[in-house]
This record gives sequence, C-alpha cells and structure tokens, in this order.
Amino acid sequence: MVPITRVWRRPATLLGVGMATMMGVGQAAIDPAAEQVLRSAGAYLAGADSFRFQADVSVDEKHDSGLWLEYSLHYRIAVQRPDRLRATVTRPGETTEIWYDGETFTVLAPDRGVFVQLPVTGSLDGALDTAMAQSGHAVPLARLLYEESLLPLLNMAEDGFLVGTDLVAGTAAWHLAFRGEDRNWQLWVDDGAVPLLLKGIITYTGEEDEHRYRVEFSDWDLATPLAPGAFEFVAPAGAQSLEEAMIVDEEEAQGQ
Amino acid sequence: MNHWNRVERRCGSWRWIGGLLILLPGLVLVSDAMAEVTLRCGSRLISRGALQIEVLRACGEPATREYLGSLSEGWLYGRQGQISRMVIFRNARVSQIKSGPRL
Repeated sequence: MVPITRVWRRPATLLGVGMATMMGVGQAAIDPAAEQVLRSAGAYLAGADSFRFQADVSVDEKHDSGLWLEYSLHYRIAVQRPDRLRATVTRPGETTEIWYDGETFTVLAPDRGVFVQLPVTGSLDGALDTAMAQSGHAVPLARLLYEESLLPLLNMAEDGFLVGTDLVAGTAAWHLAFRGEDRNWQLWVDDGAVPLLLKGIITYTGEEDEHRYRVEFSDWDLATPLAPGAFEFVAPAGAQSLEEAMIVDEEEAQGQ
Repeated sequence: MNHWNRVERRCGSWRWIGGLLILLPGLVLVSDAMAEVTLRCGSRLISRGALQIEVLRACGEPATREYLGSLSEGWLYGRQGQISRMVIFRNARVSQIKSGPRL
C-alpha cells in the first residue's frame, strides 16, 4: 500500500462496526454495520484533497455466439479537488485520455489522432455531469469521483449486510453486500488503517440486462498529488481537434 | 441474445423503427474491401475506434439509442429504403458496426 498521510482511527471503526452488528443485524433493511463501513469509506475518500488509483474493470457481455464473454479495461485516474481530473482508459489497441483542468474537458483518442474539447467550468461533480451529457463519453468510475463518493449507493439499496471479512489480493477486507431494484452489488473495503475500496462487483439482474461488472482497485495514493501541469491538456504532435479533422475531410472530399 | 436480437426485442418490429427514422442527409452506408462495416456521414468515415462524440457530431442524433450493458450502447442509423447500421459502442468508442435490415 502506498503511503497515506491521514491517520484513520481503526479502533473506533472496529468498535463501531461491532456495536452496529450487535444492535442492527436482522432488524434494519440495511445492516448498520455494513452502512458504517460504507460511510467510512465514502467519507475518507470525500475528505481527500487529492487521490489517484488504478483499476482493472471486467464486464460480461453476451457474444453473438451465445456465449457470455468477459472483456477488460484498465483505468488510471487522478483527482485534485475541487476541479481537476486526469484519466487514462486502456483496452487492447485503444487508449482514451481524459483531462479536466477546471475550464475545459478534453477527450483524446491517440490511436486516431483526434481530440474533442468541451468548455466546462465549475467543480468536478458538475463538470463531470455536463461533460458526460454533452459528449456522451462516460467518465470511468465517475460515481467514485464525486464528492459524495460512495454514499448514493446507500440510497439505492433496498437492503444490505456485512458478509464478514475476506481477502482481496492478499489484503484483509470488509465484505459488504447490497440489493437494489435491478442490481445487486458487493464491495470490499480495506479493514486496515484506511478504509479504501479494494474491489466491487455489480450484478445486474434485469431479464434483458443480466450481466456482471467487476472492478479491482490498486495503487491508491492519497499523499502524492500529480503536478499541476498534469491536468492541463497539450495536444500531442500530429493530433487534430475533431473540428479540424472534419474540415480536412470536407476539403479532401471536395478535392476529389 | 446478440445485440441485434436484443434491440429487436426491445423495439418491436423494424417497420416500427423505420417509421420513426429521421432522414439524415448525406448519410451513406458503406462496406470496405476487408468486409469491415463502416459508416460514412457526410465526409467523415466512421470506423472501429471512433469516439462516441465523433459519431454524434458527424452523423447527428441516431434514430434510436439502446442500452446494451454497463459500458455498451447501440446507436441505429439509416434511412428508409436503405440498409441500416447499428453502431455498437464499448466504453464510448466504436467497437463494431453491424449491418441491419433494410428499413
């Protein structure tokens, strides 16, 4: 685990979880112990001035052959509150780079040499909503990047409970399970000094939408923010804005 | 159930979809020599890897948008009397363009 400056009061967390378990299991729709772990993880992330992490995401998809196949993506994400974001999404043969510098949201497809920029201002939460609405481009794990972080997950849950402890890549973790209207989700939260999210699985249960989404987090770092310039987009040599690329297309079409 | 079947099942008959289609001027459907299906919108050739916003700006709003999974979406383009195209996005990039029925 990378160094983390903030000290989490683990004994208090454990005591709270223990008391909540004794008082709440089987009585409330959401087990207070599970709620407390989730709130701790959300509050910890929401309280961070900056954070970065990597994530391996796997999604089930029904192939034309009828088989369920799993495909994967790799995310590298850095956030500097209140209004900076840097993300890289990698798939085989395809990389998507994202910047938000407080004024402009940029998406670059290096493999196509094309970038798109949207003027968006404000805090990261509002900027993400606006940019996603305007571009249609989903920001990876956006829910995790909002200031409220994991807390909306509680509002979506019909019930939930603390399964117990488990291991994620050798790290001991609280294992939580929640049920929602059309999806269930499991979360694994580090039960050590800092309650960071280690893993999540969402199982979509709709008849026409039955699949799983799995994410494993790694390399959390809340102590070493990126250099300020890292959030500012500089067009790489040879890359064109989409507007420029479309003008070139038009000129070439007219020249033929 | 593949994407086409899933979309068909959600939307009902293709005839119904055809009735809703907006005529998109300048939209031409092409297939290249390697049999990879592409989509030409005006002067822009849309192929695998294109950004979702790139497709939106070049081709305009699709006739229908279909949710196909956590990171997948299908956009239907075409005009009446022509073979339609379903553009499948994965993580906001074009992962596949499929030929559909004549509308």
